[in-house]
Amino acid sequence: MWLLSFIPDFIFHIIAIVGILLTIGAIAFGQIPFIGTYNIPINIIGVVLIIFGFYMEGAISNEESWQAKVKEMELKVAAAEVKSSKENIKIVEKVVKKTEYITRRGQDIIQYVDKEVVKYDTKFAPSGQCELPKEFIKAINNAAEIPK
Amino acid sequence: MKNVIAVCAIFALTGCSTVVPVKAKFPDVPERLMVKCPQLEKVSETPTLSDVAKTVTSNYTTYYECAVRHDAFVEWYQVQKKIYESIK
Repeated sequence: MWLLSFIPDFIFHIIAIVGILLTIGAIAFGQIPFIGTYNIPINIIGVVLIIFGFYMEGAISNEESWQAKVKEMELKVAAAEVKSSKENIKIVEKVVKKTEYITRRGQDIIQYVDKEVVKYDTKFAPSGQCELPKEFIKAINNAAEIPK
Repeated sequence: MKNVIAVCAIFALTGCSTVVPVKAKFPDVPERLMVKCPQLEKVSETPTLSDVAKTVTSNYTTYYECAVRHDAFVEWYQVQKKIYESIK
């Protein structure tokens, strides 16, 4: 509540107490001649202060419960952020590990090709004994094309 | 009397203006998962058998590297969604 942001809580406690005292005073000392003259205005002021004071007491209590909820929410968000960044690290580490393995495996296979498959290059060379048909190359290249 | 009611209403309504200023932000995707999948390699017009084998190997490797990132992105989203929903 905006009033609570720039007026200290104890002011509203005092207002409520003053309201109660004025109302009690107006009832108790209403019969005394001098005070009795101001009985009605004092009573009205007392009731207004009680209503305002108690309303603000409720607002203070409400504000405190909201502040508690805000703090609880802040704690939850902070905990979630920590958990989230931990999970991020875990996932990225897993990706790095798997990617390294895949890349290494690819390099190993290429080394194997350079060592073993290369022996058959002359046999499968153009105009060689078993020339690779153009249709075969076309099929592989078509499959590698980005779908439009 | 009307003025008194108006003043009371203003005071009463200000009691409803409390808002929770804490908002949880959905986290950003790690840079590592945001890498685009590269284009697959093609063999030359007159390749040797080893060229074809190397190109196929390279393309399989590219596919699996990309698949790892995609699977990780799916996992990342599911985990983060669970964490995000647990806050509410």
